[in-house]
Amino acid sequence: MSQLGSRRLTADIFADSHRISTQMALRGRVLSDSLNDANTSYLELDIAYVSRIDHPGEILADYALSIVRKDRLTFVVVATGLEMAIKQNATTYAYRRQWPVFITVPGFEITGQIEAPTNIDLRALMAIGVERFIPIFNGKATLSMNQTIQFSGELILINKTAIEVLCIGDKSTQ
Amino acid sequence: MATILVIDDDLDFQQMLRLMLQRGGHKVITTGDGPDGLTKAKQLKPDMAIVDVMMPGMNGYQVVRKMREDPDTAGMSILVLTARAQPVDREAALAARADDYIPKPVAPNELLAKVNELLAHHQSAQGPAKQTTSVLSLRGGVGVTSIAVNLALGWQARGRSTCLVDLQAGPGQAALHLRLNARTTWIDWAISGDTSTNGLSKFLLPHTSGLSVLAAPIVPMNLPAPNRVTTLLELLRERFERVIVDAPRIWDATCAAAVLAADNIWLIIAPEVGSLQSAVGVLRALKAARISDERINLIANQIMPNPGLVLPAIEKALGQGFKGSLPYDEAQSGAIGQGVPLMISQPDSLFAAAIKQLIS
Ligand SMILES: Nc1ncnc2c1ncn2[C@@H]1O[C@H](COP(=O)(O)OP(=O)(O)OP(=O)(O)O)[C@@H](O)[C@H]1O
Ligand SMILES: [Mg+2]
Repeated sequence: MSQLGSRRLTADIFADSHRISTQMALRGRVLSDSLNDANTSYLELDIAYVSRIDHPGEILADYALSIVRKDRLTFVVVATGLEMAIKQNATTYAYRRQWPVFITVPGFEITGQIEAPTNIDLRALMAIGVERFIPIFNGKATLSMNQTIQFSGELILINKTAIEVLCIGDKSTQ
Repeated sequence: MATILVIDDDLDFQQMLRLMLQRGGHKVITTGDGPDGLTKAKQLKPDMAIVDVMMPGMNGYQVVRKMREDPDTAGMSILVLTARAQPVDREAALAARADDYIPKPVAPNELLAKVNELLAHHQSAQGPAKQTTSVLSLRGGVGVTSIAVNLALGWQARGRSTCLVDLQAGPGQAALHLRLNARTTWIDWAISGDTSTNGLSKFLLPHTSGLSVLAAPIVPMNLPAPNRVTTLLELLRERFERVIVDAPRIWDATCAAAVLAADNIWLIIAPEVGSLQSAVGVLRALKAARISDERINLIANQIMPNPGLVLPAIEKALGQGFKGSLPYDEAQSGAIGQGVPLMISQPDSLFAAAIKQLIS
């Protein structure tokens, strides 16, 4: 039987000191395309639920209209709904594989898997190019100052310009 | 079959949930926003509410908190069902005093199983839907008021909407134990001649715990006709899940009405000769009033550190065993002075813990 859920995509957007939860009606476009769309620097949200990072479960307030500067947000967590968040390669190319990663961004450390060629080139990976946001699959973001606070999701999209350190493990875990 | 209130601003999801719960044999009420959900919960008294978190205006946590604060809805099962699916979100739901939390999306059979589990647990944990308990002793000073106050707070803390009634002609001390100003009393209600549940409201004193209190006058007054007492206890029973009566210390018509209206009588006995003698008399009076033994619970209360009698000797003399024994607790008299009962200030104190034990 299928799952009972929403047709909207729920995403948690993290900036330096806030967590913004939102439910998006994506109108046919996946979230990563909206984030990577270089024609606009902003992401408009229908309703935003605002929490502070140190009490991320508590909702301070909700707002009917808000706009986010894409270059200033750190990362976005999608707990479930991968198909609404990113276009998936129909075929997995033989020369691509999953790599375990460890990434630090301000306030957080993030682990998960990236998909990259077998002869991975980290400089090419970090280049802004066409994609400002790098997708991390089965990701987990841990607040560095309080490791009991964790956010995990099928997908975490990280703003490359927020990345301080990116480390790649040698063997894939899957 | 249970009645379930679904509060979710996602109308598609609301409809899916409705169908699924109806297929599971439940009656479903739906609404898209928090304030309307609170109104419906208060009016229709569903067995359970399933509450979404991300709703504009009033979020799910605010809804749950308000439900728990209102005596009419405090005892309901509440399940938070949200797309905010992180561990911190589960903590936030439980901190708001929801009974449980499930992240969206959820498999229908998993949700139905959780709903049924909560409903079953709720019923077995909470005992019968309605219960009136009269706390009684014809011997003064054995702790009747202390016990009635803490018993009422114990039920309220367990999510049962509760009213404490101090049926003394005056002076009554229940309000004092709770540091409430007895500006209106049960005798004022009796004189008003009112017979409606709504009319009661203006005589009830709200305590910060959520407990409602119907106080006794400070200056002694003439007692109303006993049928007013019976009506009062009937109305309170309609309105609240638990009614706790601080029964008078004399066997008069008011006391008899309080005893007759009660599902449970807690006969309080201190381990001293005077209290034992009084208990013998009360048990005879109850027998004469045809109160069945199952309704009578003997409760020992150790009001002194060194009891004059041991409990087995009392049980032998009464030919009946104690249902419970409340230990001596030196913090108790201080609690009255401060106007903050132990059930609130020290819920794990000997006295409060023993009362919680008796209602669990
Ligand atoms: N278990 C206990 N341990 C210690 N002190 C207690 C205990 N129970 C009651 N007391 C004390 O005994 C005194 C009498 O208690 P309380 O006023 O509740 O009794 P009462 O039966 O309602 O009295 P009255 O007949 O005057 O209404 C109070 O000082 C109270 O603090
Ligand atoms: Mg008293």
